[in-house]
Amino acid sequence: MSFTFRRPRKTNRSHAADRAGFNEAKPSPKGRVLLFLFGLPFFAAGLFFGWIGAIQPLAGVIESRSWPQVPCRIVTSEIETNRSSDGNTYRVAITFDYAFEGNTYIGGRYDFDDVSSSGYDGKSAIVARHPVGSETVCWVNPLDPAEAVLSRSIPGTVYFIIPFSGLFMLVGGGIMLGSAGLLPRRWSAKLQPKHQPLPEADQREVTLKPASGPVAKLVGTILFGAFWNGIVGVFVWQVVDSFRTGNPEWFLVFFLVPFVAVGIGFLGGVAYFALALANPRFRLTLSEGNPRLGSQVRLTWHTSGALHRLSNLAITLEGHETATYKVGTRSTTDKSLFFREPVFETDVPAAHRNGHLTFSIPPDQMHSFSAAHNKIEWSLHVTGPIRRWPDVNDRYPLTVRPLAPED
Amino acid sequence: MDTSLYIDLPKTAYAPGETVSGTLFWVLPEPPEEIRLTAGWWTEGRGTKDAQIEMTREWQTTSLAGEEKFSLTLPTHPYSFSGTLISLIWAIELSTRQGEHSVSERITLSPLDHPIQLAHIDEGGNKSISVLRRR
Repeated sequence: MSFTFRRPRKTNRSHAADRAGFNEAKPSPKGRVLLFLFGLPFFAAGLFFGWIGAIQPLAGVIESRSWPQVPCRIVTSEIETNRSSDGNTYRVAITFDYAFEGNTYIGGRYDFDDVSSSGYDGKSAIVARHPVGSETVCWVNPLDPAEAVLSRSIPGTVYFIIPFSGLFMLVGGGIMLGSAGLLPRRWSAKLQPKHQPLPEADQREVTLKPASGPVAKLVGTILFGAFWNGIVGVFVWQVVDSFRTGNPEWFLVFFLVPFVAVGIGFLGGVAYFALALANPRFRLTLSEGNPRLGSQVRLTWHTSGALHRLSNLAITLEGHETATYKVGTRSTTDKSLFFREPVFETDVPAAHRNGHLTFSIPPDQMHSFSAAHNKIEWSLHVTGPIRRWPDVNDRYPLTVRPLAPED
Repeated sequence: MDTSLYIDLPKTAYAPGETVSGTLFWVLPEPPEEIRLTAGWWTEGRGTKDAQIEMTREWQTTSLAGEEKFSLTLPTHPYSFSGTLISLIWAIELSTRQGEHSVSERITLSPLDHPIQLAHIDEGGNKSISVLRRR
């Protein structure tokens, strides 16, 4: 059989290696193994705690349904306390004697829950219901009469441990199956964030929200700073203590210098953002929420606060490329500014507390684009320097759609 | 027997929403069971690759050689673009069922006849068009 191309512009040799870039690269064997090992402890921990805390007790409860009931007498009744650095846990410790088929036994199990847990009050109530010397009933394992329990109820901890250990097994198992390529393709695709398509329909007037508000910046800095300084503070205290006892740890002193510097930076950041709370606030409204490339948009702004403190005010339309990648285990995001055009500028901000204007979105740039690691982001950037005070520096993201079809 | 796959396209630059029409040709050493045409995009550059398959067409066939006309209507976005950190590239790929044989042709999806070029403006205000800062 022979076949001749009608228009042989070039010769094609096809190879599996010439796949287009949108085909998924197979993860390296080393990567797969590492991912599998990462998921294994989660799965193992979930399985272990699930077995000990849920499956074994449930199996005992089910099996005991056929056990005969016999009278018994409480011998000892108390709460056993396990002390640890994480806090105390408790266990009901009741012993009882009973007779079965002519023999006498001492039982030591209240129910099928052999795990110490927090929650003193519930266990105290159980002990109170079984005072020493009282008569009650117990259930005996006919195949092993030395095994008996006072209660065949499902232990309360089972209801907590099942979802908890189930979640660990699900996450760990999912990671392990994913590393082996055994997850259904649809699931793998859903777990990875994807490209967000842009809306087709026009949107009416919308008020833009800042990328991060002044309160969010302050709270974020406080939380990160507290976490950082909390940890560094432990070691700083160790250094101080070492000086007090006359045994200074000089290596630790020098080692801590950069960490303390960062901690001081956080404190400075808290002060900076706290002062910035007093800055003027801007409300920006666009006539079209998702403007298209090449379109004209009406911007309206309203300001509250002491605008006279700004030496000037500018609103700038900006476009950024944002690329996220891993360096080792650390994730890094780089940004590059590709478009900047002033929309409004004034040296007398106080005279423009409220205003409106029409500006154009350029027709020859890239529209907004959002994928898991790469983005094209447009924003209106409001800037206003304030002497001896944190400057106004807020970004208001907006979505820019492609050119209108007729364009 | 030689293995050859070929996508015959009249052009490689397309407007958003335009229909791509062409012809597929194949010569294979074994029956393919299925010939697949896929259109999609991916990113290259500093960031970790993102990719998406936008559409797929399949033909069931056991012919060792043949040709098939096709037409695909491309979506309106994302545009092909080339920036300082990121480039987005569109392609059409012809492959057999298991992907053991494949060939791809890069195309441009853009309102211009070339990918959108993004400049680099340093935050101090100087503008340059540079492709030198890729990883």
